[in-house]
This record gives sequence, structure tokens and C-alpha cells, in this order.
Amino acid sequence: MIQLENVTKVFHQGRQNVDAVKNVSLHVGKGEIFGIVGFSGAGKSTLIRCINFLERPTGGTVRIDGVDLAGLNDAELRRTRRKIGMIFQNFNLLSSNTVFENVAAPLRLANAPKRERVRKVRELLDMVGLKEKESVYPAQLSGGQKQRVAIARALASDPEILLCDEATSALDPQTTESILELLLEINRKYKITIVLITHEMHVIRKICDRVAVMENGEVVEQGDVLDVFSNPLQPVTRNFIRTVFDASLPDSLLKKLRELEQPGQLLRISYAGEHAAEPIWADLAGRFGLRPNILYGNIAQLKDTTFGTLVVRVTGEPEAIRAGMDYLAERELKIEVIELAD
Amino acid sequence: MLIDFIGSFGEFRDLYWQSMRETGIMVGYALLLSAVIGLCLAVVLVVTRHGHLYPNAFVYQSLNVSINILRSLPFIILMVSIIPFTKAIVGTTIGVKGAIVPLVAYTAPYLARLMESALLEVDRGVIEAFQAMGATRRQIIMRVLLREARPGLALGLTIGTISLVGASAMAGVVGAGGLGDVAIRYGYQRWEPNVMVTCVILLILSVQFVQSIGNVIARRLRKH
Repeated sequence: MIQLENVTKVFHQGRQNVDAVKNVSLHVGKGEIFGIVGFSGAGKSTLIRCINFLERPTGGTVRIDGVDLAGLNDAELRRTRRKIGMIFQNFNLLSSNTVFENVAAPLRLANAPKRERVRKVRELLDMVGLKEKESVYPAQLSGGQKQRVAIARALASDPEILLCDEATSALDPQTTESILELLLEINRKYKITIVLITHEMHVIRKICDRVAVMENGEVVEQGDVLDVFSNPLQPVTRNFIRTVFDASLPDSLLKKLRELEQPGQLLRISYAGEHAAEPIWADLAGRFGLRPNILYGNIAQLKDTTFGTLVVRVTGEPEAIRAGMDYLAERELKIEVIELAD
Repeated sequence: MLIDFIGSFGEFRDLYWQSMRETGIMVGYALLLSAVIGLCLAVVLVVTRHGHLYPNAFVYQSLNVSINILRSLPFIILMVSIIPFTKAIVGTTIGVKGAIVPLVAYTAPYLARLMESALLEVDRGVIEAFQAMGATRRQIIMRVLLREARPGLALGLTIGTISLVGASAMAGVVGAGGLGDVAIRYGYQRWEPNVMVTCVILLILSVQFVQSIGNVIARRLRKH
């Protein structure tokens, strides 16, 4: 659906060149929700604007449905853009237009007949839950309601792709939840491919299928959300994951653990999906004579699976610990040994 | 004294009426032309900026400097310095016709600046949203820029109108008549204080009237 190959964007600021996006290659499949996460200044805003050519890349290619955008003339590019809806952090509604007129804007640009416009706008406002607000001006709406209007507007031209530029960053946590639910519903109902950028890992966790992590203009890591969560490779990715659940132990506890006499091993065990049901602790004790002590536990809901992390100290003979770890690994649990450095 | 004043008002009533009409005609025509020219210039000044719809440094800078030059001249000097131009355009340099050309040359650049700042207030994000929707640049100018800036444009137009009323008072020099001309000829040169006071009051009233109308329109247009 969306293919970015080696996309690069250099801004010229006076005599300086700023590489906002460096050599990014991404493929987003049809119907997917793809998240791009990064701290501010990582280049995600520029990258998402390269997808609809609001920013023309200085290198690389952008293909939508196999069509290279760089090869299109102005009129063709506009036609392609009508198939790509976009919503923004600041909503970007016309303050001098009513909710109805705002949602109708893309239809008016395309010269849709009036009856068609009315039908479509009513349907969309109903879908985003703002049927009663059609003759109200944006200034009278809350942030969440404004974003709903913006979503309805973005959907008015029946797009196949929806780009979300920090769409929830200006909203409070509760409103963020409801907007994310709405995006998920749109994705399922209309099979719209969604690309979103955010600095909140929580957004990725909640609705994304796949994620790319950006740092200094580059994509440093990408993959299925579950894989990235369970096996983050880059320090920046670990930092992001720590913002949703922090599996590091407090210093005071580590100090106490270091002082323990019995031989043992500190393990971080993570698991996805249904493994929670197996009686692994009883097995560790019964079959290997180990004594597991759970120090930390967390279970997180990803888009359509669960992801859990445990930090456990097992005491027992080194041989038995190794056998126990093999046993756990066979159960597709991911085991990491935590070294207690002084 | 009051009776004296009222008596003088009756005596010069036709003169006031006539001069108000002249001021009205001058301001009306000059305003219409200045508003159209000013708005066009303002749009060009905004869209040719760096990173806007039609970025063009040459057009922007030329226009910017030209407007600054016209804006540097006090009206009375502008009026006499463009006499050949006025003659070329309307064929005369006196009377209402002869006054309208310099009035437009004075007011249009001023309105262009006022309207430029109103257009610059329009959120760039909204423009971006319309670009993302596949709007043409023309559609963005008509439906986003001009529409969103309407309250600011109305206020700018009000300020421009008031400055035009002021400038039109000086047009009496070229025989265009008007309230200012009466104030000078009767009030100052013939030493008729009553005429002077009446002219001042009439000018104050018309400025108040224009400003109030402008405020009401701007408030109606503003939806937040």
C-alpha cells in the first residue's frame, strides 16, 4: 500500500543543511495500523509529510499503491491526496465554518452534489458521535470533539489511507483513549490503512500492528509491536518501552539482593499470549528443586494480545538453575539473565 | 452663543450638505478601488512569502519595497508628486476625479499592509490540512485564507476608511471640496469659528460611525 524506499529529506537553513529524514525504508500493508514513534525532533513529522508529499523528499521514492508520487503532475498529486486523509495535533479546522461545513469541505473541493454532501456529512458525524453538533462552530467544542470533526473530515473523501500527525498529543489521557478507540473502529470498519506518528508508546501499544522507532532522522528499529516490545534491540526503544512499563528494580532492592548468601540467579521472563495458564512455578519447584521468588510482575494489553514481564530470583544449585531455564525456554518464554553488577 | 451657532448652521446648511456629499463620494470611490487593489496586493504579499503557496522572493521583495516607498510619503506630498500620473489616468488633476487617484495611491498600500497582517494570522496548519485534502492553491486562497481572515480584514478596512476620511480633507487643495476643504476655507481663512466647529463635529461623528460599523461586522464574522 505504502512503500518508502530510502526516503531522505534535507532542509536548507541558511548555509546549513539539516537532515530531517535519512534513508528511511518502510512498507505499510493494506489495512494495517503502522506506528512511528520517536522523541520530538526525531524527524517523524517530516517523514509522515513525505507520504502525501506535503514535504517533497530530497531523495528516495514514495509509492502509494505502486505509483511513484514523484512522477505525478500537480493535478494527479491532488487526486492521489484525496485518497489520503490526514489529521493533526492541532485539529486544523476552519474556525469560521460550522462543524457541518468543515466536514463537507473535501466534498465541496471535489464538487460533490449537495444531496450527496448532506448525506455523507450526516453519516460521518453520526459515526464520530457528533450528530447534534453540526451547526456549532469549532470554538465551542472540546479538544476531543474537534479531533472527531477532523477525523470525520478526513474520511469524507473515502480515503484508503489515514495519516495521523500526533493526533492525540494535545488531548488528555481519557480523550486520547476514546480517539484511539475511534481510530481502531475506523480501521476495522472501513479497512483503512492508518499511519500514525506519536511520542507516546502507549498509543503504539494500544492500536498499532507494527511499529518503527525513529531517532535522529533514521528508523533504528521496526517490526511487529509484540516483537519490538518483547525484544527491543536499541537503547531508544528500551527507553520508550520503559515509559509504558518499567521492569527495572529499585536500587534499594538490588542492594539487598547483592547481599544475599544463597546461590541463585535473577531472571527477567517475558511472555506473550496464552502462556500465563501453565503452572510453571510449581514445575520449577517440583521438577528441579528450585525456589522461585517473584520480585516484579506486569501484564500489558497490546492491540490483540497480552504481554507480560516478570522479574524472578530463583535459588538452587547452578546445574538445576540451568535446567530450569531450559525448561522455561522450551515454553517459548523469553529468559534474560540480569547481572547484579556492583 | 448657542443661538449664534445654530443660526450659522442654518446659514451654511447647504454648504455642509454639499461638502458631506463630496467627502462621501471621494471616500466611497477611493475606498472601493483601494480595497480591491489592497486586497490583491495583500494576497500576493502573503502567498509569495518563503514556504507559502507561491513562494517567489523577487515578487515579494519588489512589492514589499514599492509599498514601503508609497507609505513613506505624507498624503499632501504624494498628491502633488504624482500629478503627471493622475493626469495620465483620469485626464485631470483637479476636482473629485483628480483627488481619487492620489487617495487610492495613498490608501491601497496602507490597506495592503493591514490586510496582509490579517491574512498572516490564518493558521498555517489549516492551509496544510487543505493541501493534504488535495485543494488547489486557488481554492486555498478563496476558501481558507480569505474566509478565515474575514474579521481581521473587516477591521483593517475600517482603519483604512478612517485614514481615508482624514486624507480626503486634504484633497480640497486640488479643488475636490469636502468637509476638510470647508473647514479650511470658511473656518480658517474666513475666520468663521462656528463653521470650523461644525466641520470638526461632523468629522468626529463620521469616524465614530465608520468605526462602530466596522466593529459590529468584525464581531459578527468572528466565530470564537
